Amino acid sequence: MSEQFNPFAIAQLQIDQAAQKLGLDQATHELLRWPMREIKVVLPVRMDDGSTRIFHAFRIQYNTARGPAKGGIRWHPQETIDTVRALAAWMTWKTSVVDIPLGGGKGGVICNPKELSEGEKERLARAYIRALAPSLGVTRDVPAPDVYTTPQIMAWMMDEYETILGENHPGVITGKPIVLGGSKGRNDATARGGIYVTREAAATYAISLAGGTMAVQGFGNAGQYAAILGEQILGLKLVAASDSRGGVYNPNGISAAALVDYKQKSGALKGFPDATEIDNDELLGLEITVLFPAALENLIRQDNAANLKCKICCELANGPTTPEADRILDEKGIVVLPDFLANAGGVTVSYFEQVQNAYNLYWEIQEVHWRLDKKMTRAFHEVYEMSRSRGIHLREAAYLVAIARVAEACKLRGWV
Amino acid sequence: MDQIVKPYFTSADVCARDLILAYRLYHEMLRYPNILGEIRELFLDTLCERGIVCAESIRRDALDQLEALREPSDEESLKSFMDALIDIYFAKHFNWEEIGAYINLARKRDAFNSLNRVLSAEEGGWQEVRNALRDFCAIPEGSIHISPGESMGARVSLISRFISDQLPFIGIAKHYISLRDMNDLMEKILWDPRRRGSIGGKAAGMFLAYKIILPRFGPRDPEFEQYVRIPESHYFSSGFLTDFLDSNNLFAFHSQKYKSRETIEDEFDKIQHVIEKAVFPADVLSQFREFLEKIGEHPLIIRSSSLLEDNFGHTFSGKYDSVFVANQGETELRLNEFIQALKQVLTSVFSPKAILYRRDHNLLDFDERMSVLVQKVVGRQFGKYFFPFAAGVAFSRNIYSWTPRIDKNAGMVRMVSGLGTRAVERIGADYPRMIALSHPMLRPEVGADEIRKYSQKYVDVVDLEKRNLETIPAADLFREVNHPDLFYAVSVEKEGHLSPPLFRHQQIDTTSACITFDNLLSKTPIAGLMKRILAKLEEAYGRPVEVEFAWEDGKLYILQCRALAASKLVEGIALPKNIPPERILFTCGLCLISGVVRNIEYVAYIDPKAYMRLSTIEERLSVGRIVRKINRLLEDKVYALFGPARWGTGDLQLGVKVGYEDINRARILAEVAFEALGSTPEPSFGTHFFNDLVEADIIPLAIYPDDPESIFREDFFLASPSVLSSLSPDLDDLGALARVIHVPSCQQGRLLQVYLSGEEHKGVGFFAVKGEEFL
Repeated sequence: MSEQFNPFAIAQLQIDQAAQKLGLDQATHELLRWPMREIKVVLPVRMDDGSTRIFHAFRIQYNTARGPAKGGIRWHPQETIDTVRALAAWMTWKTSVVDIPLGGGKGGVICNPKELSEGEKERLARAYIRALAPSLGVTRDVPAPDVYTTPQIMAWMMDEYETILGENHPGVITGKPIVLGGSKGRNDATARGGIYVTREAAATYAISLAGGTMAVQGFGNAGQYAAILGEQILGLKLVAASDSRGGVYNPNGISAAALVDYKQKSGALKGFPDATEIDNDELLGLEITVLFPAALENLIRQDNAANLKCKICCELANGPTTPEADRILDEKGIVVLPDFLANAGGVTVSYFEQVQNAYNLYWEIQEVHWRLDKKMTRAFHEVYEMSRSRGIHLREAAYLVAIARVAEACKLRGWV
Repeated sequence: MDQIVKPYFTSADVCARDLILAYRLYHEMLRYPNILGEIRELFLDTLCERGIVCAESIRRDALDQLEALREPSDEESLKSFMDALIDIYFAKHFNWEEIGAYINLARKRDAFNSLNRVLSAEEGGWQEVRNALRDFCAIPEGSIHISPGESMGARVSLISRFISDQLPFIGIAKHYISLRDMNDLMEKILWDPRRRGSIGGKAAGMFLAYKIILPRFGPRDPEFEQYVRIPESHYFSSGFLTDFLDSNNLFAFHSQKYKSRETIEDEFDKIQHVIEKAVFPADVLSQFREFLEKIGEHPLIIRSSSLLEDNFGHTFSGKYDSVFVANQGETELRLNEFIQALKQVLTSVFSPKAILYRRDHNLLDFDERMSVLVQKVVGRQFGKYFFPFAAGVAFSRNIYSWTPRIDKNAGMVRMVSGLGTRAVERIGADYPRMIALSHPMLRPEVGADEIRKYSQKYVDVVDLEKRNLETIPAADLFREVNHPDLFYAVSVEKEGHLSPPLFRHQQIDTTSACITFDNLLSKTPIAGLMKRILAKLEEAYGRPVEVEFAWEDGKLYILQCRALAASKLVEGIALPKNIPPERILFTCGLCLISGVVRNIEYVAYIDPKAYMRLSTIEERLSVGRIVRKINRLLEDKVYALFGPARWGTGDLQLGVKVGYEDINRARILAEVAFEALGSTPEPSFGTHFFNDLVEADIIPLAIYPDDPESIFREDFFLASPSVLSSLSPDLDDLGALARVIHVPSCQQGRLLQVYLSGEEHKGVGFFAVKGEEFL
């Protein structure tokens, strides 16, 4: 049950396994098992009715050997420090696997944003920055939006930080609205990054994409862009898609743009013309070239993994495949592009935003795409190389690449 | 006033100026020679009241003067001297404006007495009353009024004759509706030449609400004055439809209500057909024609307003029809459309759902009559479409309090863009904006995807070309119609986040727009206004109220108001603890209302999975008929009905199409929402369907079997023996689709007990023998 599930324990186990494979020394291994800095703050916030409510918040700077900490701020009623620790660890590996000069971090505020008015949200956002300002900054720690935090909240946070310092510092936060220094190309960055690594994986494993088919599970932002870009960039035909209300299937193909438009209008995929209804298990069992799990955790499990008939599974969602299912997919020869590589496009464009803010020079969309492509392509090949040379699957390889880089940075700094 | 022995002055003090003023006053009085005595009587009373002079002093002064003049002091002389002195006193102490006001008051009193005379005469004719009231109101209102206490009797008499004879209604209305309000109202009533009737509950409710919000007398809220309006409304008395039935020899229809349920259902088609063919008398048609010519080509809504409707505690939500007419083109075309609408409204009196509702609420013996309220539809024309910017329904109590921050007493609103029809019914996968008036900007969804999912995607409009009500995808409508207030209605998606437009004239990308009303709620006074209006109405009615409204061009239109059943929603339910796990049938974690239903003997189960497997519309429709049959079979039993989310929807993809009459005997109406079926029980609070449940003491609840925190013993529903075939052999071959379980037979004599706590947001159903308690 959920009370026994400790995400930080899982994150530590992953480090332990990688440390063993990499032969890390005891000190380095131990250093990587723990956040380097944890900040806990208490935020008094004036509510609309005049009362004051106390909020508890965290910021974890997991490891800054490769650069300033980087990671989102989550606003969630069930937030725990262990969740934030685990997510900060995974951010460290994510920035490392795509080789951007950043460390990993994460923040959390225990609150229920549904119960806060816009004014209360603004005061909470500003209180968070006031409490943490000494630890933040382009050279220390750069937060970004995450669960239930928005570009608007980032704008308030940036403004508060700049007010405290009395100078312009747009790079202190990424994921800002474009007019305040946000980067172009952020909208589809996660999906686009996944598409680029899919393209590279297909070429590497000699899987033909032209005329191939795809299915998308989860039709939110990432899923919708995956369908559109899968058509545009990879030449794949969308044959099935699903969301929380059900799925649609047409073996002759579904126009991704038309399906996005339909979902915008009707709020669901169900009922899309010329398509039959399909559930998630049926969707997973389709004989297709690429499967994009783009919404649910633990979608692919021991009980359904054997049914998968795709050639590539590009994990746009976080943790869609359980470890047991991972082994089954590996045995079946399905190329699984692991989540923290496949969905690293988002953090990469966040980094681009930081770079543009530092230069005070903003790129056109083509330049963002071009640079993202380079980063993702290179990242895939480095992971693939690790996988090939060690005879391990891509997820494990990605961990080894990422953790080795962080470990190396710690060593070179003389920390361990 | 005998203590005033010394007058302020005596006639000896009178100077030329006083005489001139008195002369002018006398001239003014002479304009009303018939009431000179009444005017002077009022003058004298006022002089006494103000402590200026009393009758006795004037009398003594007059006697002194007669004596000084050596004239005989007979009654006639004395009176004329006293009259002259009263005039002089009054002219000296009151300015010209005050004098006019007192003369006006005397005139009003005189007319008021005539009105009272007509009203109190037992055989007082309608026309005489009408004329007397009109005469009274023809006198300027003036600054001095007949006191409310003085006019109470006449007001009560008028209200009960022409608006409603329901005592609870009169008890409230008499405090807010003045004689002049009655006159204004009567100017808007159209009467049948033969049968008079009255204007019915809905019309009465709307009129009363408006008078409570903006009373003629007493303090008026400046913000209400600035923003609150009622649409142009006309009242067709119940006499028209009574006369229609009489002139077509359809008297027998009035007895339809006493027939068996089956007969009422079977004969309804025939009644519809007969009414369709029947005709209105020629003189009535002329009246209708004249009305339509006067009102012009403006879309109308023909609202039912029966005598019983909106009676306190029995709201008849959606039981009688309201019909939109485009009302465009040639008069004859419009007349025909208008007549069809009237007939449709009339027909609904004989519909099974209305009659069964009355039967359930012991209202059958009342001689129900139907009047209609004809309102100009609030809205604006955009090309061929006509619709209001926003509309909906508001409640003075908020039972949809999904967070403890929400104040239940501050009210809630269901709001939609376009006509409010989408806010009052359960419509497919479309959602109105639910607004907690204590915290208007809070919503239970966070994130663009979730907000989009629970937002309105279709808009109801009047299509002036097709001459009917149309439902248009919001995105298409906003693309086609350049609505100047779109800024207030939508949020736009930018960088994966939904936020309202920042500027009034910002270019809005309608393809990514989602109706949220964020700017309407944060940048206009609508939420605060609505909250105060509801509070004022609830205070006046002494019970929770429901208001239908429209927001158009910065004004809030009150379309309809009714008092709800004095809260049947109980609070403070303590959930039983320590229930043995094997006794629990289900738990639910999202309860918003409280209630207890004990000792449920039968459980009817429409298997959501089997329902979703039905592939044709016909098959799915047939499930509604099966539910109706089960409801009838179990009508004298305590039974709970479980089935797919959502009950009562018009969208067969989502749930079983049933009406109130199909489920009215169930004590629990449960929605079982399996995630894999994509079903989501929506917050239906405030729909007509939900109101029906509350009024009928049927408790709605939602069960989410896939929620790891919740319990749902599907095996009990699927594996317990079904007694359906023994109850009705023709329902034998339904397999797993529909099952009826006799609970004690398979639970060792135990019955199902259901406890729901809106405070704890939890509920539980478990098996226990009668009286067994778990504390």
